[in-house]
Amino acid sequence: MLNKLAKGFSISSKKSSSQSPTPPADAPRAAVTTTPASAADLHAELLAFIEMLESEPGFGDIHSLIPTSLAHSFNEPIRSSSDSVASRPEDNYLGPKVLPPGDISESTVMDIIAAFVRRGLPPRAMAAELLERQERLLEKLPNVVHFKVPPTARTLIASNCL
Amino acid sequence: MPEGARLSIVGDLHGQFVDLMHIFRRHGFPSPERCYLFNGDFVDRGDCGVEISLTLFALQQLYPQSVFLNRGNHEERSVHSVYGFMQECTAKYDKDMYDAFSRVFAQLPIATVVNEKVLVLHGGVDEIMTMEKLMAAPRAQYV
Repeated sequence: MLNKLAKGFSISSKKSSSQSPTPPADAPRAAVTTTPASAADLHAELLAFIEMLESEPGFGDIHSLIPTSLAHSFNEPIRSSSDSVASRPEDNYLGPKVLPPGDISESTVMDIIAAFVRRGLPPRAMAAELLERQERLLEKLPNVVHFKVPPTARTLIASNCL
Repeated sequence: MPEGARLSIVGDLHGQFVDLMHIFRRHGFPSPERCYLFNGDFVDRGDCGVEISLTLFALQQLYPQSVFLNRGNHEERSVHSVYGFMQECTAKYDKDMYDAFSRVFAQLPIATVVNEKVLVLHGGVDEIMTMEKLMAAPRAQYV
């Protein structure tokens, strides 16, 4: 299962020592034959993949992991539109191309996250649909949301202090 | 939330998608038993505000009773137009998509109250703010 995620992502110890962001011309594309997977499978697969990423020397500098980096330094000028088209990370995207009608499924969400981990970006139309659904969801919520957790619930707070 | 559930409150992801994945690996993906409250500042500074926002939105749509989002000051247009998100989003998509993200951000709730006891919000409130004022605030407007 892990191989399916790792394909096209080229995790190896070599990459952290390589400073070149440009893939070889004959590098295999991130074409993966996707087979239907259950949400649980994707979930386990994604966790394993993240664990593998974390064990990599370059973890923490995710942009060094891939040739078509999403990174652009604030000190660098914005790429021209032709540059961004040439290296458009949508090309890397192997997740769902459209949102299924109705409620979003766990497997769809896991597929999207897995695609992000592989440095892909969803097609514009799908991202726009996700945003429209989110706007409809949020419009129904009050300014202050209330919810309850059981007294036995464990609570973790992770944030900065700035 | 069922007995034995866990609540994780996460703030200031600031476009660090790897950090989000790290948190999920350590504490589990959201589920009916694993509740998350993301306390704003999803975007700016880091390079993956688009990925973080879409991930959080998808997760909230999947588990609306387990995933909660508060608005941070960086989900305000006058801020994310300056601190990196506009640049990131227009580079990855285009200006219209940036506008669409902005519209969604403007609808994010201001605060969340846990168990009627704990008020969680991004930047705190001043001494004249009351819960009534918070509830009535025009949240899509910058004040």
